[in-house]
Amino acid sequence: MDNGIKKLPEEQIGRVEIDDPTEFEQFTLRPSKKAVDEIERLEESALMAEQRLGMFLVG
Amino acid sequence: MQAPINLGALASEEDWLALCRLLGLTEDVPVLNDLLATFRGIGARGFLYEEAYIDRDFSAVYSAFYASLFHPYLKYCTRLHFFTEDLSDLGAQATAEAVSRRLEEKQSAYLGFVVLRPVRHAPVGIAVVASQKIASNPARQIDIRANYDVHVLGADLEVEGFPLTQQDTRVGACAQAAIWMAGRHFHRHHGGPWFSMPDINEAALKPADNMISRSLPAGSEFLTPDNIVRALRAMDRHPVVHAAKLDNGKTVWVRPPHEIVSRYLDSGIPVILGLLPRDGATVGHAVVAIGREIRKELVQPLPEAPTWAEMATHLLVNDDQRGTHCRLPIRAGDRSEAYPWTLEEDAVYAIVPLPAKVYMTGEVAETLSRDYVEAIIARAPEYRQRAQAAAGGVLRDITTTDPSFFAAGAGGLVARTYLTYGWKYKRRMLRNRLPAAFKAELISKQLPRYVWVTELSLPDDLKGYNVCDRKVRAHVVVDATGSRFWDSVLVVQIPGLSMFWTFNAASTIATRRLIWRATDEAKPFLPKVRGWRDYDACALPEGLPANATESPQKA
Repeated sequence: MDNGIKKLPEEQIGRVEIDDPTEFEQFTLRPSKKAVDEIERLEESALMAEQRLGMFLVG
Repeated sequence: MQAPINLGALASEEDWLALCRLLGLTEDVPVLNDLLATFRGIGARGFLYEEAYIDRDFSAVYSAFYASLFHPYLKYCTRLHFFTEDLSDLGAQATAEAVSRRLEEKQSAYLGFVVLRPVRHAPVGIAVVASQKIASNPARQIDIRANYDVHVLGADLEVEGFPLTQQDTRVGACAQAAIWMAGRHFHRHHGGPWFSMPDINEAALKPADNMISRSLPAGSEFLTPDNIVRALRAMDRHPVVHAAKLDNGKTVWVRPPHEIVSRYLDSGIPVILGLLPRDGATVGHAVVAIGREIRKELVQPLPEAPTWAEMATHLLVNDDQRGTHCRLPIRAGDRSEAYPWTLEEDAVYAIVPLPAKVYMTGEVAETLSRDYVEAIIARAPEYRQRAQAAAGGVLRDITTTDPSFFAAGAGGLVARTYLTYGWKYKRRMLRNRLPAAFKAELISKQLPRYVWVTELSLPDDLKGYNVCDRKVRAHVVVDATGSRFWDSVLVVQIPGLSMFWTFNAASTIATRRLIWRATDEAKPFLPKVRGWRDYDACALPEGLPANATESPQKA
């Protein structure tokens, strides 16, 4: 917290801060292959559906 | 022009018939019948009828179309207001000022209004019904609503609801009506542009193509999804289209459509649904989803990666041909004669008019959220081990902080994903029942304008209609402007551990910073409630634990 706001007692309890790039890479999370595959499947299905329904009329 | 005003009671069947005679209804108009039945059903006991009302919407249609016809049409509309009490005392007031002041005192009894056009084939210009009254049934949840100002007899009244209009077949189809309803909501609730029906036609039909030119005036009988998207873009919306495949006339969705629609309703965004032709029609139909009818608890067995959408049995849709808050069954098994369609069998597409600066769908955000929760559960011991020194003692095994959460695992959690403003998310969470360490970290975290939030609960956390009794165990915040594949998750919180990805503002090059907080403090918190800025309505009496199953105040 910057100056001006009172330091809270809970501010540092159980806190870890990492900005070293090597450590960051060690601890950060990234989407799993399963999630990436699922996202790609969602996007492919959107493209396939659009081709079939582009002329669906509502009135 | 003097505008005659009629007042009347609606205490008996004869009163309602007298009102129909006063309106001069000579044709059976289902949408108007539905509106009258709706006002009656929510307790209308009196009406006020303005016999001449200049309606901005009809004036626009009149100057764009009716004024050009050989047959003469009137420009003036009428407007009908409903109240939960008889207004006869207005007539007993001694002065004009007293009438105006007395009417304004009726605000709490005001149920909404219907503007009637001077065209017999499509009389309903705009109608707004008080959504609070519709939602007096606790199973009914009206997600999309805005305030509408009403000025009558020098009095200012207000009604909160979602607008309904009837398609005027001379100038537009149900598609234009659906666009108009969504657009008017954005105008009222988000300060979006005001679009009349001619404005919508102009935007939808440019560039013109042969398909929409198969009717005269062009586009008056149907629109394609492209036409709808063009009109919504002109309204400063950035729609995303979810569509099914058609397989021998049957719709096949990659994800169930009720899950998709629920995410956007929870985000406060009306969804335009395209439905298959029914009842011998040659073209499909468009309606606007604005709410849901929900169960008291989830029904087992739940699907894989279940969502809050499993609570819903019906969507509430505004249907320009049938009425307001129509019950569209979600599952084919709930099909009835009351409404011709079901979402499962008949929904062909869902057009979601997102705001600008949203570059990720709710479906992708939820996929990422589940994935990150699974990963953080797996690596939690590693993160907590690293935090031991700062914790001032030995941290317990994380599974003891909330045993039922960890027993369920990521796959057993029910997800509810919605789009919200970053600042609103922060405001709500700082007033929620989260650990102090989480709030201390969140308060100074920068957030984008829009974030996707996924709340994760156990199935039993969602029982009952009282939102103060529902619980959330974990949540994930995703940057709505972020990439689908990297660097978009901002916050992950599970019982006993929360992680924050942020930028290192002190660095001259873009580097990322990771912060986590490990605590033994973990308690369920409250879900977002549409329209609530905090949780004061769920305030617990002194000494009652936050995870108590009963709360004293009903939502």
